[in-house]
Amino acid sequence: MPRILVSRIRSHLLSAGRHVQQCRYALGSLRCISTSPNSGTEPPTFSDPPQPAQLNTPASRIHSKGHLARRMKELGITAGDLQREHVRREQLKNRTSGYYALSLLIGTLALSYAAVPFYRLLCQKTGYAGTPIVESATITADRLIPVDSNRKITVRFESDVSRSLPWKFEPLQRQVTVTPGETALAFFKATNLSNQDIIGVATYNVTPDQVAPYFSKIQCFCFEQQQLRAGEQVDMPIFFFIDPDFDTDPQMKHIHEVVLNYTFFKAKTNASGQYLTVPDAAGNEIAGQVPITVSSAGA
Amino acid sequence: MSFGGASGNTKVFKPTPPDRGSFPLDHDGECKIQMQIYLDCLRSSRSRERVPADCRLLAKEYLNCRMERGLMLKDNWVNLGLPDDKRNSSTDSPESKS
Repeated sequence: MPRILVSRIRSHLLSAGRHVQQCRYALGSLRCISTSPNSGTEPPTFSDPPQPAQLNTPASRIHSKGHLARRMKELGITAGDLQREHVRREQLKNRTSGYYALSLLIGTLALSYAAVPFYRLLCQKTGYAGTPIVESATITADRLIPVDSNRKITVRFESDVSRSLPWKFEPLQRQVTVTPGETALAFFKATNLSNQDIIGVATYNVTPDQVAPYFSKIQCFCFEQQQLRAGEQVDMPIFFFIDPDFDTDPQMKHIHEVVLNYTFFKAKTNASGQYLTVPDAAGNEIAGQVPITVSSAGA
Repeated sequence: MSFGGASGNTKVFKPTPPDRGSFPLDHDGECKIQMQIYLDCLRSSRSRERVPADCRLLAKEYLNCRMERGLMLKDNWVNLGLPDDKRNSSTDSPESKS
């Protein structure tokens, strides 16, 4: 058996009956090289650190701290055990980092889904990017104090009716002059020209667009279904004001006229939620479809 | 509507619902008289300009009529920006400028 030079080792064992392994702990891993296998005749024994005379013997190439070998011997740990343990630890590390990566992926996915309502909430609270701040609390009385300046704004009223809605809809006053912070009452009149009960829904538009955040309605007739019986005529009030902050906004300095346009559409569903039939452009009745209105000046 | 418009600075208009919701329709014309008086006042005020401020009390009458008939939720006048009942001034409230 040629003499095998054993380099400095931190931990290893000789497992008699199995391969003689020379293990070196380097670069953070335990590397073991098998040398020529033993014949297997020797019973498994753990020998003491060899005396110099035994260095040539095949099965006892040990160069370790004696007490470590003894300790391992006491606990019954072999070099193979160490290697398996090491491999197991590596696997555990890999698995852990795999779990981390997976949780990171899932976390990113969840965050991207949550971003949409979160962003909407943020915009509502801070009015970022022009979102009108619609607070759930009612308009407080301190906003309803007219400003003390000479500022007067003319509010003109326009009305439109969808083509499929046989109503006559017009404002009862062409314009009003208001001061920011001052509440104003205005009226529209709607007449059902047909011989059926019809439900309509109104929406509104404020021009110029920059005024929209300042235009506050305390109460009006929009966004809710309003039913008119056949041939009925009804007065519809709106109670609104222009926010006092309008006066101090430098961008609004040149604005003296505001156009408020209300448009009535035919409702898609009746009060109990059933879809109503609506005539399309050709006059055929199609369930649940509302044709796009063509905005024309005047009622 | 905003296709091809200026990017960045344009504020997209979103119609907002009214603060107190919708007025119930006055199908029976219960407050029609008050409305007519108010509109007459509006038309008569200052020839060209229609200043609702001059007709605040009449507007208050109309809204009062609505409240009494259950067509509007009762509320303090100060929350509606209208003069209180205690003040007896003709058409001016102390805060508004005439």
